Amino acid sequence: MPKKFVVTLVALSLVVSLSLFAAGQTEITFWHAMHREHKEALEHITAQFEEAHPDIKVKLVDQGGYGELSQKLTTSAAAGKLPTAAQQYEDWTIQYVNAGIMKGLDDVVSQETVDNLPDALVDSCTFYGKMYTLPFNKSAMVLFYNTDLIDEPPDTWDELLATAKELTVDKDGDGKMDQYGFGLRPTPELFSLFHHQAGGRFLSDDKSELLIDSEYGVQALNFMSDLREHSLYQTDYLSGPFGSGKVAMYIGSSAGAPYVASASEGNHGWDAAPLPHGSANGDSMIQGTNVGVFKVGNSEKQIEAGLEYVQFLTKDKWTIYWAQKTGYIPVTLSALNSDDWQSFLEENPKRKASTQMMKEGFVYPHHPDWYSVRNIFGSVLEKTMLGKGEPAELLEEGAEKFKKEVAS
Amino acid sequence: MSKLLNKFSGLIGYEGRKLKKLSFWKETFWAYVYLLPTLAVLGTFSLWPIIRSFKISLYDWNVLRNTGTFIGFRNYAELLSDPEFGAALWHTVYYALVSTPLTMIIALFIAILLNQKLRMRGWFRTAFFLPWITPMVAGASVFVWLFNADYGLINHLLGFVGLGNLRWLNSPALAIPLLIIFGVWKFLGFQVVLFLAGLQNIPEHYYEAAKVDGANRLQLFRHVTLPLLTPTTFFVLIISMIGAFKVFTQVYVLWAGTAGPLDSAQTIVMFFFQKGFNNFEFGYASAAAYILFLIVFVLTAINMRLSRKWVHYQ
Amino acid sequence: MNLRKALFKIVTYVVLLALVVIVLLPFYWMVTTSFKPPGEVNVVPPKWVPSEFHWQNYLKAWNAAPFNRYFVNSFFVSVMTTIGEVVTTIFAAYAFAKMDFFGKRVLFLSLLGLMMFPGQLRLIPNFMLASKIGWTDTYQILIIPWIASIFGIFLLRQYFKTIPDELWDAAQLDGCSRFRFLWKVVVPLSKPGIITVALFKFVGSWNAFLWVLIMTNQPGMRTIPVGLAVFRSEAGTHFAELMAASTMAVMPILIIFFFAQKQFIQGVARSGIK
Repeated sequence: MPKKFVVTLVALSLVVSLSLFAAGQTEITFWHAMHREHKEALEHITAQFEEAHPDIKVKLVDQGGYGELSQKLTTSAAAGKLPTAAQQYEDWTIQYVNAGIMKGLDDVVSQETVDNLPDALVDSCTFYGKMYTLPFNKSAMVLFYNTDLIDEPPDTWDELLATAKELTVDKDGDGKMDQYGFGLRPTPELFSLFHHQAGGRFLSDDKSELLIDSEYGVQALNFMSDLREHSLYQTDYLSGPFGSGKVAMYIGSSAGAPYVASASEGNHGWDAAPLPHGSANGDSMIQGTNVGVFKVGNSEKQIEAGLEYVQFLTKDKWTIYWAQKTGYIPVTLSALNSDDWQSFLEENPKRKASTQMMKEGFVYPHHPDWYSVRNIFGSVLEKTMLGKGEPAELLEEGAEKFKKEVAS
Repeated sequence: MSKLLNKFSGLIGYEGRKLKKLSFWKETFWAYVYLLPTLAVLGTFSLWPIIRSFKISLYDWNVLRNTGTFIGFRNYAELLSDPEFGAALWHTVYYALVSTPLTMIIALFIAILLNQKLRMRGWFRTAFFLPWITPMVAGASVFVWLFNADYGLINHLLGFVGLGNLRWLNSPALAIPLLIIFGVWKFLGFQVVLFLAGLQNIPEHYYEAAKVDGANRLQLFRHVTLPLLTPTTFFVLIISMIGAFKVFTQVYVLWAGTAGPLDSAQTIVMFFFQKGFNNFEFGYASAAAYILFLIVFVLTAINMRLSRKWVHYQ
Repeated sequence: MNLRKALFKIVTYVVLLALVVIVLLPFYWMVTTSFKPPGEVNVVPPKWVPSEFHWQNYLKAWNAAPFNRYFVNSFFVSVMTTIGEVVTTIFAAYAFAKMDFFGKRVLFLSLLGLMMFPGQLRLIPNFMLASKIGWTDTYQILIIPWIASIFGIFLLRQYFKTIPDELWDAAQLDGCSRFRFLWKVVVPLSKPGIITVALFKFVGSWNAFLWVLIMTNQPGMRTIPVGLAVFRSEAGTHFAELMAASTMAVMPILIIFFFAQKQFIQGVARSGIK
């Protein structure tokens, strides 16, 4: 162990923190899972924040992927060593709220600010009727399609199915498909999307019942079974096979656009379209994380500074900057409708679909055991796809399982 | 009673009369001096956390607040009637009991081939070692690609023998076999190195003596190599089995954080991880880890017992 | 007779080559993908050789995370951990192999027992401990918990056991201390075993991920595997760059192994002492 090095380091950090103290600066920590272009954009915005608030210093910490970020937050909560603020998914936040470690935002976020958020994002950030987070890196599900094969993207489920069928071809007649019309990843989110578009609701008002065992659930599963007939079916990301021309369309998060672009480069053209309509609506699922402030392990001053910071990230100017640099979508209505963003869309028409979807979006309801609920969705979907039961029965089983294990 | 006492003292490694000798206690003192650094480190960073998690396993534990309600052995009782845990247990046993001997047989075979005077021997050895040093993320990503049902290389090759339609990553029945293939690939080099070291440790003169007696290649292998290699074989068996029962990272990376189609690759450590870090039920998760420990401990003890029959120290 | 020998050699080569090809296939795929231009990574049928060598993947990968620092850290941590482990293990393995002491079997079984718990169980308590004693974001926490190895003790114990007791008896007659005997006689005779133990520890330390991530927040304290995480996101993987970074991560160990393996084969002079 280079003792000298360690001693110097300790001394140095002491000097630094002392000088900060002297200047009356507050240091806060923000944990994120952003890399590369995303990280650079975040660093830029943070530098702007520090310029606007000379008394606050923000330390950005890259914690790997979301899985690792969640594990770090859990570990740190156990040790009482939480950062000031962090990116988080809704199903983590609700656990943090239950554990009493989150700082509520109702005192600092005005009604005006709330009204300026798309409905889905208000839902996303509200827990037990109170606001605990603000939206940050948000994406929406869109339909990616190969423009060399498709001129007019499908508008409805029926059209989607017909297009998928038409474009599934065995070019060399060897019995194996060389091109699939659609790419289907059996994720709980895809099932949820179709379930919602068919008109279904997830939870009863008192959250004691899972409402998937309905005609809507059956409709969604049947549609997916039909779709599967003309699909490349795999658990891995679909941007690869889409880029190589193996798959003509797929529904995925708009955050995947850079991967689609890179995989398609030199192979074919592509675009993103709003989602085809189901029998009830054509809503999209809004995904991505929010940002929130922890009250445990932080001083009053740090909490205050943290609140300033998370609000800064949602300012129109910065949410637009963020969206332009990363591929995510601005999170406020005023930003979405602003001239800045609209003129950006004119130059980048591939981004129009996700912008539209943001205003027609929905999110999962909040439940402390949503992780288990997603597992139920996944299992119902996979069983259907593997032909291990009838949709109606499987959905009923899922609802039963929820009652037995999760609601108890 | 005295018989029982004898058995007990045999178990903890000394006989009654030894205890009266000063030299024994002197040696004991020095042995512990030698063991001190190891025991200090393991005691602090392994034993203590494990004891602490035993306590947690008796609680309904809220990890985020680091507090809990004492519920005795309820977590254990619940686990034993949890079909999800039962499935995880079965997958783990299936994986461990197939992959361990399979890897060992292939590794031993390769090690014996590599133990001859060959050109480019160093390159061969390095080649077999490569998978083991490849970062798990990279190795698994390549596997996911190679085993893609529609455009992966493996199905392309299997197509020539009419088996090109296996849905490796999407069908529950193939999840553990795929995990085994990955495990064999990944850990082969590790075992080859151990077997090679063991083979090198067999003194040449045994072979010479056997050759003088007119033994052929097969007889040499059967009567010299195999018996003299038994300590290594035993060691590899114990280490690999313990490792196989803890299979986790492979699952995590092959199926992108899930436990495979219909949880068909759910293993006990994966179960632990999901219950602990995703469901925040650390009491339940810790209890699962303790049950895993019990199973592996019993199996290892049986193995050690059996080893007296087949392991020969020179 | 000679013909049979030659035939046997040829068969050996053919079998070995076939096995090497199978084992190296994924590895080959990793390296070749690391050189592919983006549009070529996923094409069907697969491209065995990239149409052009796209070196930019390496440049991009290197710049995606502070890899200079990560490499330095990985080297420092792996070397220190390995040295520490070899020393503690030699002492402990000797005690178990050649000394008679109170509680030996129970202790050995307990150590084996410790191995049977999943490492993930230790993360939270160890993090709590580390933050209590102020060891988070230090080299100590990346090194010290890993300098004891049950696997290593078990392996070396097997090695030491094969050294005849007569050697120790003779050494005692010459007035040699146990410490001296261990380092002057036992250790040199067990070089292959020690190198094997060291090699495994080095690789393990080099590839450690979750522990490093949990125990550190400063980029200046992190190691290569943490860097590999930046190529994956919730929406996709930068395949070519991940493969480029992984190839770079593997290279140092590959070189070390190539030289080490000669050692643990040539270093054996065991037959001389029987």
